[in-house]
Amino acid sequence: MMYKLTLLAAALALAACATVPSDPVARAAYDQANDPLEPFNRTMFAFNMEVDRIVLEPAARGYRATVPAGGRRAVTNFLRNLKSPVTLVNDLLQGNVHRAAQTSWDFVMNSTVGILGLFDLTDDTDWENHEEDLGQTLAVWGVGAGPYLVLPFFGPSNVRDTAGLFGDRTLDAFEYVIEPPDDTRFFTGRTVAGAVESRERTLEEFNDLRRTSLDFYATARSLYRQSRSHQIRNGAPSGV
Amino acid sequence: MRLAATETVFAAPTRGLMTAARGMLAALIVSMTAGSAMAAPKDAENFVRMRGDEAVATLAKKLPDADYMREFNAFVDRTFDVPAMATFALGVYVRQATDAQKQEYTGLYRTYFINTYAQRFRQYSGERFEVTGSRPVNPTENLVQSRIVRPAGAAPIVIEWHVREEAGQQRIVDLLIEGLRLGVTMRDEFGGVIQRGGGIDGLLRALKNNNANFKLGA
Repeated sequence: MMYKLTLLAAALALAACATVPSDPVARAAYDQANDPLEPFNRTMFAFNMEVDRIVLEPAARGYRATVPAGGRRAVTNFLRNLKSPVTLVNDLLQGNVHRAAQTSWDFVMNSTVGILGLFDLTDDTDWENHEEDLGQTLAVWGVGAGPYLVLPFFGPSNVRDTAGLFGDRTLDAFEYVIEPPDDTRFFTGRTVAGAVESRERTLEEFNDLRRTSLDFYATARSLYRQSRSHQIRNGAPSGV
Repeated sequence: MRLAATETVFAAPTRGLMTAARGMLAALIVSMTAGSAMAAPKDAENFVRMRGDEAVATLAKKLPDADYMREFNAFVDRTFDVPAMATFALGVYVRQATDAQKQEYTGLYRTYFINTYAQRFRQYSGERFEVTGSRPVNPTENLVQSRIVRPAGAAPIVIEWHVREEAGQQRIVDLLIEGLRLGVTMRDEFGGVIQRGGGIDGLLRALKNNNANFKLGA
């Protein structure tokens, strides 16, 4: 089933390939966008915007209306703490022993004294919270991003980060401590909760951006590329 | 990047010396070149701090819409190099645009930029704005780091200001919010409009349309 779906998606994507412009200026812009599957991606993007309109934004508003700020902060902390094991593995895969130590310290403290991560006790450490994933690790290893890709439900991505998304599950300790079929429920739940949580946290910014942008698809593509590059560099300056 | 205490225990003594030596060398170079064409990072920092204070003061007046827009317009003109930002945002298409198109575009860009940020800035609700440092980009440009400190539980927002000094005058040419560059984002956004078939005239139409529909919200 999964296999057939993948084939179908690949066929659709190929059929939807953009035509490469011949004019040199248009060609330069086309290369800069790194989006040969643009027609397919725009369709997916429109689909995701519908999902947002019908499900995600209402859920985020409902969450804001029913859970007070303190409770929402606990949810944010809790979800971030659940990501710590996979962040830790990726810290190590990137050879970043330093940040691995920080991640471990945060995870141990917040999971125990912080009651399963509901309280972020490590706010006053002299490091900031960070998240790592396999897409970032692959980038650090020198794997290029590949073409831009909009995934249904998951949103903006690229070939490398999509591979990372699937690979991360095999790197996540929760995969091994939770028995099937509960593991799938766990990962789905964490992803859905994370989507609602982050949509609520950026409700105004997201809606403002969507309203003012002349082409929200292109804006989202640009912001995804820039924010991934920022994350890969762990926030270090890019050498303007 | 701040270092964890454990690692610095061993490395600290030598690193301290090295850093001090490097610092002195840098200070020496800066003092030797300060009188020449070098744009001093401190001037850029002061510029951002001063303009930040002015902006907050404007907001605190709680002006009626029309007066607020007038003040914000004047503020943008003495703070940002709008024509430079407009040119950057046109990207590769600057080579295709006619002079008439460029002229019209720069005017439309200015209105678009002012509208967008007049609105966004009005939502700023008095969180603390701090200038935290700077680094030179080239002899005439500096990147000034700042942050907006938010209530407990929310991480501060890091904003960097790309300041250019020209004929003794400082102007902001770009800004980065958490590593996201405004100029690049706008360039890619405008490129999206142009590429979808509208060409440069399509972009001018989209900007005109957006500007015409703008209404300052609460």
